[in-house]
Amino acid sequence: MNFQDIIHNLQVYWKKQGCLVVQPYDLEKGAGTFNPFTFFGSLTPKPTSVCYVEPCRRPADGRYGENPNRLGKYYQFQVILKPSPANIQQLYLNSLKAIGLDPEIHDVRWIEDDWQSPTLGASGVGWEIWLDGMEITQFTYFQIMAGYSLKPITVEITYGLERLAMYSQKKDTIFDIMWNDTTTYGEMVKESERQFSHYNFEEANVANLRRYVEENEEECRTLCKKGLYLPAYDCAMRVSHYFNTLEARGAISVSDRTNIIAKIRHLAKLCAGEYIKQQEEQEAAK
Amino acid sequence: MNALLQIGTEHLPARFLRPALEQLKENAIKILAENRLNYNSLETYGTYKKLVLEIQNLAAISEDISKEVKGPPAKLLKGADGKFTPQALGFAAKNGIKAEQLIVKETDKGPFIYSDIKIKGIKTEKLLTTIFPELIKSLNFAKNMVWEDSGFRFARPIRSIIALYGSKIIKFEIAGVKSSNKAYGLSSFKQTPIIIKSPEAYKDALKNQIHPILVDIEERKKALIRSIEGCTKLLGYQADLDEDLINETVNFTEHPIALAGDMALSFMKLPKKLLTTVLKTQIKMFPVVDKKGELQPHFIAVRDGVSVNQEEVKTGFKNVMTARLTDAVFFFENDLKLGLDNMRKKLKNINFIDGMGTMEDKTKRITSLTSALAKLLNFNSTETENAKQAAGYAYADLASSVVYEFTDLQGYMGGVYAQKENRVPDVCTALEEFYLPLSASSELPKTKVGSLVSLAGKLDTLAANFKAGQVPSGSQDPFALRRQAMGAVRIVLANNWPLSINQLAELSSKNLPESENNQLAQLPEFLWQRLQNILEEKEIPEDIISAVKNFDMPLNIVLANAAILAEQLKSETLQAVAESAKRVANILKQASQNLPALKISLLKEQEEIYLNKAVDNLPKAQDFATELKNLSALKQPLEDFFAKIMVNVKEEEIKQNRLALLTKVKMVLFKTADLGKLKKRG
Repeated sequence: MNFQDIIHNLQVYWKKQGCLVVQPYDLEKGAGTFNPFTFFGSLTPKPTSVCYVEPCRRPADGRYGENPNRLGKYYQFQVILKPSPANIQQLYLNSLKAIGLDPEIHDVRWIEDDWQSPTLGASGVGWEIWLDGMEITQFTYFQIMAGYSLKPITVEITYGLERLAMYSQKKDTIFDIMWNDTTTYGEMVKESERQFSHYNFEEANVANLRRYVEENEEECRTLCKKGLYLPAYDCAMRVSHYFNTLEARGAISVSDRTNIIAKIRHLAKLCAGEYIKQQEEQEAAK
Repeated sequence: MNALLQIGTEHLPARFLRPALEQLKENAIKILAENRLNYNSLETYGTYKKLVLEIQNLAAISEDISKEVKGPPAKLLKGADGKFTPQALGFAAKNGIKAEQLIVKETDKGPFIYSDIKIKGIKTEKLLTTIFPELIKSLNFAKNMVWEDSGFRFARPIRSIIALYGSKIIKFEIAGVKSSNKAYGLSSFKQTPIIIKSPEAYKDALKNQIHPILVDIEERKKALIRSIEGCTKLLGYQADLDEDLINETVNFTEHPIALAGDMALSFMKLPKKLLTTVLKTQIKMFPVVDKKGELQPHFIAVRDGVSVNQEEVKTGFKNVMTARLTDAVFFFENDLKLGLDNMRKKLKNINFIDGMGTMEDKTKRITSLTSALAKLLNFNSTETENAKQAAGYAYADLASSVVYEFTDLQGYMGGVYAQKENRVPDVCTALEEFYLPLSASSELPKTKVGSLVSLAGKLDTLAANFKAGQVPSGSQDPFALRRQAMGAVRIVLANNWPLSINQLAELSSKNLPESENNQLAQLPEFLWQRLQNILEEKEIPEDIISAVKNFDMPLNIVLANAAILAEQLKSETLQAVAESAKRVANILKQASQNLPALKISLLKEQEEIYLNKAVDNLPKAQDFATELKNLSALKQPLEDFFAKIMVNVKEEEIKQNRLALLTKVKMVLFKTADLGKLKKRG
């Protein structure tokens, strides 16, 4: 199944399960979990069911488009459901069927893997899912987001789209994945991988990046005080991305690293706190 | 009738299964007893999706209770107003009855209030509606989670519950799940409920499905091994049936089916342990070996359940294995290109523990420690040279890509790289053996050079941690220092090296950086505790261990002395000497440290003269056993002395002289072991 068909079929499948199909959030991020639908969506009692493709940027993972199994930017497909339905595991297995991977004729293994994100102050319990030995999905019941214990519990399903495509198309390298019948994944991304690796590892201006981190941090705090948690959260996401770039650039020491991660975690908590406060005020006003 | 509880969950981590089943069993025994419910037997079993308790012949009703409980004196039953007193009301409430039901009975000490408690048995059917939920709540896991609104905590979400007493469903609800008689099959297949008609029908009902489930752990284990052997028989080989991997596989399958596949020959050039580690730990596959244990280019993977599509699954497994082994080859070849010398140079970038330098610093320290120990133990020049070289490369492999990916292969990989570089065999073996023993009782380094370098590594780790203030306490031992110390002590003993605890502690404390948290003073006692563990394992009594405790004597001598003392103490004469020794020690406790020298002229009484002579006449002993035997000559003189002679007399000069005599006696009594620590035997 082509890469674009896998995405399409997952969207169709989850749309049928009642999910809102939304478009990727337009800011750089290291993982789908940063998407505001996931971040804020998990924090309130309101039911949520959404799905979306989310491009993820991990500057340090780039390999100039030369390593067939490593990318500085790749795609996740995320499903966020709250409350978590009792038949969620079956819903997931059926979604594999929708993309041509019938669990009845493959070995599906649920391997214990509890997820956590120190930058978001988040953690959850769940599995990585192996299809005939290959890891294709991360399945997590969120327990904590931005330091807040969650109720109700959100379940997050994150498909590794490139892995699924490699498996489904029997390709040994990411670049050989067929995006559609005529275009390969490599044709789509190789030049961007080369240029961004060059930028992230060699050209990124460290002084500027440090300044961006500071400016966005300051702006995040100011906006939170004014109750504008959405633009504030954008600033927190930018801090996280600039930090990742600085790290790829080799400009982060061990103690730096711990400090900046704590800083981002604090910003995420400020945004979450403001969001929760406003939600509660709205509830009370009803 | 039989009873059955099945907690149906989403996939529990494999490692949680056995502890959960043990708890379920223990808690069931306890809670059934508390409820006075009799039964013939009970067992627990299950899979990663089913925790099951089956109770055989559970009584239909709990036992009646009838007992009288004594309360306050009868005069406290009612007050002057004719009403029950607060004491009487309190007593009745405590026993769960009304004050009107209290009775008065005569006793030896007058009349007392009694409560005559009679509790009728309760129907099991009713009791189980609370017992089953309580059991589910009673299970503890290493980690719990919340998944639904009631906030119930369990290792993974509970999705179904079977609760039966005979054919009857015991109704309750927990975490939003209602109990039923429905079981569910392998999760990858269509989830049609399997109706369980009775507890005894449960196992077979699950087994007789198109996609069977083997819910009994032992049965599943046998099926797994049979399935693996079926595959290897066709290949003409055997599988490396690693016990841990077998158990893990049994705990993450409901119906294990083995598949055999081929491996590219090019992977066979990987070091054996590297290849098997990738297979076993990263992708949970079993290596295939011939009769001699030589690895063969095949693998055995295990899947959960059978399917129509075995070939495709096999291809999938093979691809994953190939990808992982290709990574391993890449790491390994890079490491070979780098070589041990370059790896060693990278050690300056790896920290050891805070304040105790880098691994390069540690390497320097253990090299000089190795050198000092070799000199002390009279190693010849070749041995010394090899030991020093091995110490110099002992940590080099920590900078290799393979060890970075597979920490457990530290040491082993160092040995492999040294061999590839054609280094002296003794050095290669020493690197391979460096981290041995891996546990308190597992195998030690076999070679002399390997033992010495391994000892030096452990001593430095211990001393550095103590100097940095990181001393294990209680269950807190994050750096496994107890295991390291045990390893060091066992190595010294196994090699019969004449090294004492103080020597070990002093030698290893040299060359360490300064520290504000220095706790090195505790190191000798810490090492002693390991030797003490060894003595306790040999069933040497505690008092004998204290008697032979000595930080300046070689460890093997201390060990031997304990056995000798235990043996000799079978003699009543020596026991009597030991009793007198205690008195000698007690009297001298109060004496001044600066006693005048013993003056023979001041010995007037016969008993003190004899005792002095008996001490003078003791023959010289070459060993501890003879020394103890000789002491029996002091039995009578000592007993006579204590029977007749007062030490604390008024004449100061005589008193001081008698204390001096006892000091002389103590010197011979306590020469090797502190006999004063011995308890009276009988």
